[in-house]
Amino acid sequence: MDNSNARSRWAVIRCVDSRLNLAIHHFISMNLHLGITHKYHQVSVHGGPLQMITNLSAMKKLVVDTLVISYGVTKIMIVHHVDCDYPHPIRDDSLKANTSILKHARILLKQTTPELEEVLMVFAHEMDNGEFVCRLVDFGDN
Amino acid sequence: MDFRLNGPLKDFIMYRHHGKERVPHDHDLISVPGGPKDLLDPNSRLFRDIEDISVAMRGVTKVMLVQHTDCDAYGGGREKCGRDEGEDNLFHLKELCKAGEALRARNLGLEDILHVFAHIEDSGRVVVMAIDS
Repeated sequence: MDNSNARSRWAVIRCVDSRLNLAIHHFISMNLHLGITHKYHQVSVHGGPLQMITNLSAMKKLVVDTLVISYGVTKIMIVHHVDCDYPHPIRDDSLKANTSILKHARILLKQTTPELEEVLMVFAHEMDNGEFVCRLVDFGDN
Repeated sequence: MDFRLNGPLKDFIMYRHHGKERVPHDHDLISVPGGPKDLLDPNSRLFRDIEDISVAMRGVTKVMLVQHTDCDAYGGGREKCGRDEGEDNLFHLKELCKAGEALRARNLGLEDILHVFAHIEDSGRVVVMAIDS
């Protein structure tokens, strides 16, 4: 069997929250120039990057052992959203607090998995109608 | 979590009716390597997540389990689970049913557990279907 179609270099790590489903789909559709297509492995766990921060050993197992070694992933997009009910000491929906969560997750990921070629950080904020919209957070060092 | 399921599952949820009602598009999504595979381990994190978070915290009452063929989480894709596409299909169908039984036996008060099987053909085409449990 030709298994070449069974590989994607991209993975998206996100929270289980239903409001992210369409938001992530739209974000990728509108940002194909970033190199990510809809062919990405999707890891969806409660809290997403918040769980990465609070449970580093589980994150290592997931990202290093599974995504990188078993699935050949080299590029990751991490999505964090406002109003996340994952138990975490930071219960602050300000942009500053949420950006710091993304920054923390990014640093941990880069330290743990230096072989990753690219790590995109995306923040989903809530609009007046309750829908989520994703936007890229640029840390200027990608 | 296999990327080959993204489009076919989205279409399945959007366009197909499953018995009495559709699966809403705004469903919570748990996506981990192997998917329902972890339900065969009673101490798995997936069980705890469904019980403590999905059901207790987020009020989930209906679950759709999705199992696919040619799954790398079983240690090597199709070749690991059967000699050919047919054997691989049969293996994963049985795994899906066992996972459903394990979840049902947990007595979490779920109203419905929908079993969905994604057959990734050798050609790359993905056929998604609901399975009677």
